[in-house]
Amino acid sequence: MDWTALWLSVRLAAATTMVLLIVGVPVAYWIVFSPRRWKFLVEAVVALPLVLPPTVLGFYVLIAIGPLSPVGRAYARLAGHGLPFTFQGLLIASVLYSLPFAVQPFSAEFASVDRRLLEASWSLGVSRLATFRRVVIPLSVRGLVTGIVLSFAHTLGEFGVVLMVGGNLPGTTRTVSISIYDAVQALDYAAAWRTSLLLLVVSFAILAATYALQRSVWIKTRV
Amino acid sequence: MDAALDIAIDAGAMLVVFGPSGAGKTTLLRQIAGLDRPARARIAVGGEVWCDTAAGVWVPPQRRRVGVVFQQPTLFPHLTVGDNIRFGIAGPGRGSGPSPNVAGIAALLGVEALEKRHPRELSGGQAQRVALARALATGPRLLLLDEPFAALDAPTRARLRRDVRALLHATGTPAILVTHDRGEALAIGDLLAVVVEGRVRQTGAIADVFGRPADAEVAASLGVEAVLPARIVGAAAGIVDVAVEGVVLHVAERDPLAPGTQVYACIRAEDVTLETGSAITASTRNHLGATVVSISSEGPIDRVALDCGFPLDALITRRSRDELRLAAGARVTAAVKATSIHLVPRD
Repeated sequence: MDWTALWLSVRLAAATTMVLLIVGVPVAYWIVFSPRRWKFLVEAVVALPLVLPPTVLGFYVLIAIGPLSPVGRAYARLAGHGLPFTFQGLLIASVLYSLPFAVQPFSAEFASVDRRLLEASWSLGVSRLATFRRVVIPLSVRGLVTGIVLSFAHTLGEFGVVLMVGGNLPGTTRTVSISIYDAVQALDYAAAWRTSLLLLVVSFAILAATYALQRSVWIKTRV
Repeated sequence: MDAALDIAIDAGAMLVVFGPSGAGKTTLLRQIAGLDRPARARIAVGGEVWCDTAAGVWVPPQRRRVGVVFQQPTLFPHLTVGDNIRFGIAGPGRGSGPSPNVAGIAALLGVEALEKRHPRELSGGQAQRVALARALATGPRLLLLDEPFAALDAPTRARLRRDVRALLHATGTPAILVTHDRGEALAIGDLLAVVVEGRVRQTGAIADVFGRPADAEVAASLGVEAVLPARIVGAAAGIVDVAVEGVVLHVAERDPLAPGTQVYACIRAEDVTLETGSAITASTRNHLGATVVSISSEGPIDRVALDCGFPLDALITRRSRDELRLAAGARVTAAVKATSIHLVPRD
């Protein structure tokens, strides 16, 4: 078993989920509550990773953070090294790749909060932001949990994007899915078996726990 | 809706906006509350302009300090009753308002014992009481009510109406209520604005508007009844005596009403029969000496306006008019059965 790769995948998934929680909630808020007509364009962009081949997404990210792009050059000047084939570069790619898995459950849940509750809150003198914090967020716990879990599980299993952006550096960018690929390439089927089974069991356990939680009473905040 | 509504509501008084469903009453309330933005309007309350599309003025709902109660209670389901009631108090932008007596409001509405419960554990009436307490707890300068009693059963509705009136008087909050239920308008209103075909057609004290509708359409939308301010003066064996302008009427009333209670006595014009000459013996309880003021034709039916000490209309057929030889100034006896008079208590 490639414990280094597994640990790297868990760290990457956790970091990606954290970033997506911070970035995804405002994006979902904007998508749901903005009166802008062209917001469907943003929704489409957010959903792109669902249909785009991971290699295409990975290719564009690689170009965007590479030494030929202004972003890549600026980062390289500040950090002393480039983004491609680093954990940070992998993180950026993972966040983009898992964006719909966080934003879509968030926005679906925000949108399902009864609008009259928001109006009641505004009429009581509570600002839009405070209403979001005090009414929308507490009533969207299910959607937030779903988005967090899906982001984590999706990042844990990503392959194509990682390969394009991160390459295959042990301890830095070799994630668990790449280690399985390597094992199969090396005809080490026993190692591939063990790691694949572990990934399968962990993914199933996470999803099962999430769906079980959503049925339980303590999270049922809605009447 | 074309609403030219310029009206002074006293502290603790209630303006009822009355009109059919779909007339735009709810939109009017939502625009006053700042929840809907009108395309072209000017809204000013208490000398403060909240919306003036010509001048580009728009005050968001948070800074209007209005209490809003919808038909559905819309309580925050994740908070207890107590946290619901206090929801708007800690909020910013409320500093300048008078600090209301939250415990007193909760006690008046009878919800202080529900403090720890969640909204899903409340009955419809209790939930609406909590919604009222929440709206009043912030000390609003105006309370807006959108058919708040429509979803409740009749006894609950009557009790809650009484309590709301008491609460408005206790807190001195002026209120606007929209409804399509004329019984509700009569039971709770002080002032009345009548909406017909999307326009406010008449405003005024409720008895004045019912007593003197501005035109036939307003009269039709208010219904065909005469609505007479009256007072209970006696009660015995299922019959109560009410005084209307000094004339005592006998009314069959199942619910006991204490003497001194202020009521509206409602009499439909088709329930008033006319007699001339000496009184005949009949089961009718009320025989009122009256003078014919005018007669107007409504198709095959004539509407006879009477002065019985108070104004009253009778609908009779043209043939009856001819047989009775009625004309303006004639003396007649107006007969009304005790079961045809409907009383609406005022408090």
